[in-house]
Amino acid sequence: MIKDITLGQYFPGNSAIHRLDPRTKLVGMIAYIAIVFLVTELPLYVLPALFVLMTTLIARVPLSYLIKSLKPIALLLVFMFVINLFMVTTGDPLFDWKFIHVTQGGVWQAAFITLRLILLLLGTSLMTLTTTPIALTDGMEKLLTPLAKLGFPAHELSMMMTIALRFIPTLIEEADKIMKAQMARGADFESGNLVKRAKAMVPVLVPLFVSAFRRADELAMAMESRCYHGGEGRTRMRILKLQWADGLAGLALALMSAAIIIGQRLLF
Amino acid sequence: MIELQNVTYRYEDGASPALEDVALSIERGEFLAVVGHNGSGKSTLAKHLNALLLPSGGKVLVDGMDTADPKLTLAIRQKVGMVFQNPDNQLVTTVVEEDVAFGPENLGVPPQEIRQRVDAALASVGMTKYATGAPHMLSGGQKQRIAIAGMLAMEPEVLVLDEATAMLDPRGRREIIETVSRLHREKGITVVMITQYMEEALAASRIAVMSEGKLLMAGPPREVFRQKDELRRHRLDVPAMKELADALRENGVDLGEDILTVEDMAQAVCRSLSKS
Amino acid sequence: MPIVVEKLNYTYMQGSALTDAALKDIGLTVRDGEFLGLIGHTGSGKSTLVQHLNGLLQPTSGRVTVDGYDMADKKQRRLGRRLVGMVFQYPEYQLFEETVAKDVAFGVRNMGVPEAEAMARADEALALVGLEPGRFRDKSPFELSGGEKRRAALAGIIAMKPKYLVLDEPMAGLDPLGRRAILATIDSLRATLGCAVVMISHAMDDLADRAERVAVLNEGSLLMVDSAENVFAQSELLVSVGLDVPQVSRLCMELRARGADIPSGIYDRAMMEKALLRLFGKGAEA
Repeated sequence: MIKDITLGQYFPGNSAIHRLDPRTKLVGMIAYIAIVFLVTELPLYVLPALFVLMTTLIARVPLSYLIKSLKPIALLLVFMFVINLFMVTTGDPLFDWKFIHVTQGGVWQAAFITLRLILLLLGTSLMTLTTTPIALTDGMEKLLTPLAKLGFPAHELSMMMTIALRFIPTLIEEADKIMKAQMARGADFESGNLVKRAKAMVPVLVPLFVSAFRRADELAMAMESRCYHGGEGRTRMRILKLQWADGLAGLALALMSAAIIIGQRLLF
Repeated sequence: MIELQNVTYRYEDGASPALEDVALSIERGEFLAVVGHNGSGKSTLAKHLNALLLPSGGKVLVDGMDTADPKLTLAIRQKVGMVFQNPDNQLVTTVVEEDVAFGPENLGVPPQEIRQRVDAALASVGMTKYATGAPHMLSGGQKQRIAIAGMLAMEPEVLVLDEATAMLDPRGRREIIETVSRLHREKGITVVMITQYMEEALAASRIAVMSEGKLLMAGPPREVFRQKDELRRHRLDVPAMKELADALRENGVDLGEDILTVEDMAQAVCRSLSKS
Repeated sequence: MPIVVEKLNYTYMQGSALTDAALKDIGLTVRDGEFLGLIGHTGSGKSTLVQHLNGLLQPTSGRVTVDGYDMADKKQRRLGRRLVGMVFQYPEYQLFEETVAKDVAFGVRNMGVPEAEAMARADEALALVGLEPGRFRDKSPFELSGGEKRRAALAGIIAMKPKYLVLDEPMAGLDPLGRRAILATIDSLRATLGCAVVMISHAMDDLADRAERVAVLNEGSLLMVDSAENVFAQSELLVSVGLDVPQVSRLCMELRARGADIPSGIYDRAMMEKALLRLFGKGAEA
């Protein structure tokens, strides 16, 4: 069902990776993505791959769990591999049969593109697996705070994200209840063409929207009753403080990018 | 502690006033129940206690502070905590203890102290075990206890429960009444409980009865429930045991005037039997 | 012909959005026109069970047939579902149409009934639940008060003329007056339409007054199915499985604990009155 998505799901734990400052993980993830794109020669992907492997081990996240996050895009990966395999025709031909031409260049490119996608996804999954939604929004708020001085609504965005994350499971549950109630009245969500099915969602979307607005209203009252008055003067129970472990993580990423740049220069 | 002086309130689209000339004094440390039929104004009254609504006429003073003064709103809301009906629509974040911390964070309490307050508040409502869990996995009664903890963390002097048990099952209702009674007993918090359940009102030391926007009467439960016919006329029930006692009296068995709970009845019956 | 539940087992899917309780080996029959009460502690599986009655959920093993239609078969399920009208908890949250009449007619239209007849049935249903069609027909459902919305939702199911009416805690969140009003509506609906009623409720007093049989669920299993009298007389057992018993039942248990000579199993006020009067030597002999 809807809850089967492990992409973005938090895996509880107390490892060194879990305890890293969320800002480090956010910035680190962006750096990691940039690093993966830095690589232009397939063999050098071994470095990011090792990085992911080591991080997963330190985080004590089961490898199988991490691999599961590839499930939603498994089809896409296969598709991309196949497309590149047959479309790219550089290099020595390896296989020829009727209209199917597979060249060495094709195999290389297919592997390259697919591996890049896999590594990107695994890296981002690792981050969401080891960081709670609250920590993520806290980290983002802290990172964007300097922009707040220029008028950027960092706190408001962060609050919105927190509330949205909090209500997603509640709204999913409600959508399910409404669906069942309408099905009990003979509503059919399964048959018919796209237009018909879209129309069939109206009896679910309208009550859901109305309910969401009502919730927002009540939540606003509750927040005001708890003296919420915007970001000014707000303290936080959890303070984010960079530790030496964060420095280490940063160093590891820096070393990896250096190794890749040098490696590509020297070997290729 | 809280004084309502001739409070009148009209909703924007309201034909008749939701509250009409209500005069009520809520004493420090008391446990007051506010009952009334649907639409009697009891919820509207509750929202005047923490400046969520401002009176159209009259004044509301919280510890001397006028709710109409916007400069005092935050101070008033810190003193008067409010828990609402829908358990879901009060929880703000994805982790229980973070939610309880929301109030103190808004007040600018230093981080170390927030931590202490959160732990103490969760302990007061018996939810320490669930501190790092997700709110949406909890039962209705548990969610309401978290909401109460969220208020306690702000160290209020008054706790207002606006029909906080209306959406709960019997077990959840009992959880909340027990928790609130205990907080009143052990910490001396003033409690104002808006409820439609007569049995819940019995936990209070004083009952205020609302009807059609007016304050009908206010007094200890025994006094209030003596006026059965008046209450009936205003669409309210009396506790089941009182009905039973009255029925018995009509048939010649007089167990005394003030039987309200099962305990009362059982004691009275046994006492009467041992006499004869 | 009845609804027959045979050896129903249900295990909830791992990671489903709703916490569907498990059901173990349920065997139950809902007879034509009967009023069956369904009680059980929170999480005992009441909602899960009733959702099997109209095929919203499929058993992991076992069978559910409605008037002979096997609810496991997709085609038959559609036909069986038309016979079972289900009103969920807080049904006012399912209203969505532009007008009350349109919303009430929604279920009827889904049955393939032509527009004119559907609207006529909507008017009928509105009248039956105490919402005067002339006044309410063209209003937006979102303009109604809470109690009116709930009646409108109920009308939406009634308009489908179900043979079995399943109500999941129809009185949840209502004040004493509202509760009495809804109960009166349910009573009159039953009298007018002749439908069977399956009602989940925490308020045993209300069930005691009108249920012919009561089924008690505990941890997903059927503890007992018996006449209302027999079930409610077993106060101690009901309390032991986490249920809330009426005050007079608690008084009965309390008095017996203190040694008073009161018969066990008293669950309504009239019975208690009689017993107490007899105790004091004032009552007429039964």
